[in-house]
Amino acid sequence: MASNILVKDLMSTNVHVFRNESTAQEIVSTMSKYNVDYVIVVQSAKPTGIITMRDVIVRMVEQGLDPKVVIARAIYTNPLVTIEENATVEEAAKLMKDWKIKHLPVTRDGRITGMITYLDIAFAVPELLPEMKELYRPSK
Amino acid sequence: MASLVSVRDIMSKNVQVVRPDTTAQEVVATMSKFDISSIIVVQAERPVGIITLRDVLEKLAVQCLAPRAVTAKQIMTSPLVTIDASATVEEAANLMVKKKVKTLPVMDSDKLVGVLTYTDIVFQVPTLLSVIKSLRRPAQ
Repeated sequence: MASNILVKDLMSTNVHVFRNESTAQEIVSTMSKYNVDYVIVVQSAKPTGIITMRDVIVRMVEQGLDPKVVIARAIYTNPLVTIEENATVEEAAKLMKDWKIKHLPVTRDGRITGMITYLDIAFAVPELLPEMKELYRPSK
Repeated sequence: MASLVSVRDIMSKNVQVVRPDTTAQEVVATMSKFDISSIIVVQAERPVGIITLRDVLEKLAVQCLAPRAVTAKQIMTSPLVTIDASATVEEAANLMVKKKVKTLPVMDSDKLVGVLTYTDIVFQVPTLLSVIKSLRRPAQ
């Protein structure tokens, strides 16, 4: 049953963490090198924001900002909704639905340990697929 | 049954396109405006390439090229892997896996009529989840 599956069983641990002052250039390099679509910004060991590939590309390419100068704090999305790794996937799914978010950073005692996405849940827990479908936006 | 669903039934018909000489800056602006992750490059009404957010990251942001000086043609992936609108979703899923692509432009005769992504398959034909599972990024 789905309720037996915990967030930590499904989460990815390929999560990269940056500081408020890290530059967009460092973040872009990491997204490229490790093939990740997002990074987490952490201050005093607490996660404070998320930066997606789209966020950083729009700032750099569309707005033409200099990636060596722009810092993480200027482009991240916060406040950050997170979930404890011992929570169930149902709890994660509900949180994603309530906040209309597809990525949920995972923590243990407040520190980042992973990331769970709506697709992780859709693939692994068929009972929750209809709920995750609400986050999917078919472009007609 | 999954094999009876055709690509035409679940594809997105609202396709955004750019020309080969469109600047990278305009490409990103269009992706941003329509909140899409990939865009088709069309020349003389024929699709000639595709640009994903990751292409932009790899070819522009990492290399720090000037977005106004770079054209779509320089950053697009070509040749394109396309699928016929009358093909089954199962055929599309197998093609995605074989070619390791998550987006297929959909053709009717020589005309671009839509786009099918692997997320469309996840949520609209979940019986094919096991087929497309390998397209997911490895969790670790």
